[in-house]
Amino acid sequence: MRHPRRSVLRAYREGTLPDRPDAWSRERAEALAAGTLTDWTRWEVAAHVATCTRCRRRLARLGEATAPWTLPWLARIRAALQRPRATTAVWALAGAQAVAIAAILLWGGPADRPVLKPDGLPTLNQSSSVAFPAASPAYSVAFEPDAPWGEVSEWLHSLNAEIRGPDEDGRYVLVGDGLSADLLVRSAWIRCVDAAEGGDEE
Amino acid sequence: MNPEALARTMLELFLAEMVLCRDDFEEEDVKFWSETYHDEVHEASAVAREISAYLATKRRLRSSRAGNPRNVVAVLLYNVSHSGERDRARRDGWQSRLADGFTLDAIGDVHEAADLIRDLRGAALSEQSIGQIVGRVVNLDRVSRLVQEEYARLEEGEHRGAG
Repeated sequence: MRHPRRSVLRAYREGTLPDRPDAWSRERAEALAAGTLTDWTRWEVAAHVATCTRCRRRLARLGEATAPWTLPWLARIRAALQRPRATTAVWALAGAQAVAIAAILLWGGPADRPVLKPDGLPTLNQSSSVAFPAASPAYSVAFEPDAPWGEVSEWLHSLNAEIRGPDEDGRYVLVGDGLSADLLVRSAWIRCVDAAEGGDEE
Repeated sequence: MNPEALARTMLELFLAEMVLCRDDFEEEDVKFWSETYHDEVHEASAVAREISAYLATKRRLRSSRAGNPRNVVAVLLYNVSHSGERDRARRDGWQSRLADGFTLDAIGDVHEAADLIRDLRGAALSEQSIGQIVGRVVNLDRVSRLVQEEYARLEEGEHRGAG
């Protein structure tokens, strides 16, 4: 089955889609069931989302992405990922400097920072032996209550990323490069809760 | 997904919109999806007529000083909860959800309302439990009589139109 495009989901969320088609027909119902419509309406997106876990998750993520604190952050990550490699390196470097500052503010310095297992997440497989650059970008993150931890753990490992924390305020930080963070946030299991930790600096 | 499953979803969405008191959908659309879902014209007409009867009763109560359209939502939820096979586990789940203070006010959008309808099916909740969900004491007998009146009126109108 095919799915409505992101722009369609955004329009649905914003309430700018037409309410219904001029007329429903058996052919249109079949196209809707197959997800191949090109002119989605509000009712049709609602019906698709009601039966498609993937699109429901995409829709929820769109809501998060339009929150004021995530939009610039994700936009910059996307922009950085789309840039030529050399420019990305400059962005990462600038991000790293900001991370170093943020890390000092948060825990008094990255060198002293212990790598902890988040409370209540016993299956989260963190490896303190993973070698990170001296100051990899870090992102304050929160977890979705239904996150499948085994799968998250595999993602972290394969992306050479790590979750550290909690700090005194119970916050967790995802440490890794912009690509790791972007992919993890796209998974909808982990969300960025603020942009202070350097990933959005250029 | 086959068109029949889609039609079933659509019918749930119509009910969900009614639960949210957003009743401005087209009754023609209800007919189309009922016919897509039910091969038998007779059954399709009955489903469409039932939804139209809820809508008509809501309109009637809206124009009455003593009436409240949410009472119709209560009847709708009661009927949904008594449809399908009885599910004791689901009923128990609802009892604890109600003990935690769940009401319709927690429902924010059409998808949550559709989930509610699916969760209610087979739960066979009591009049009191339905009252807790809608946040008011509702005399379901009285309101369902009004729905039945509207249903009979619609049926009669269709027969007269056909004849």
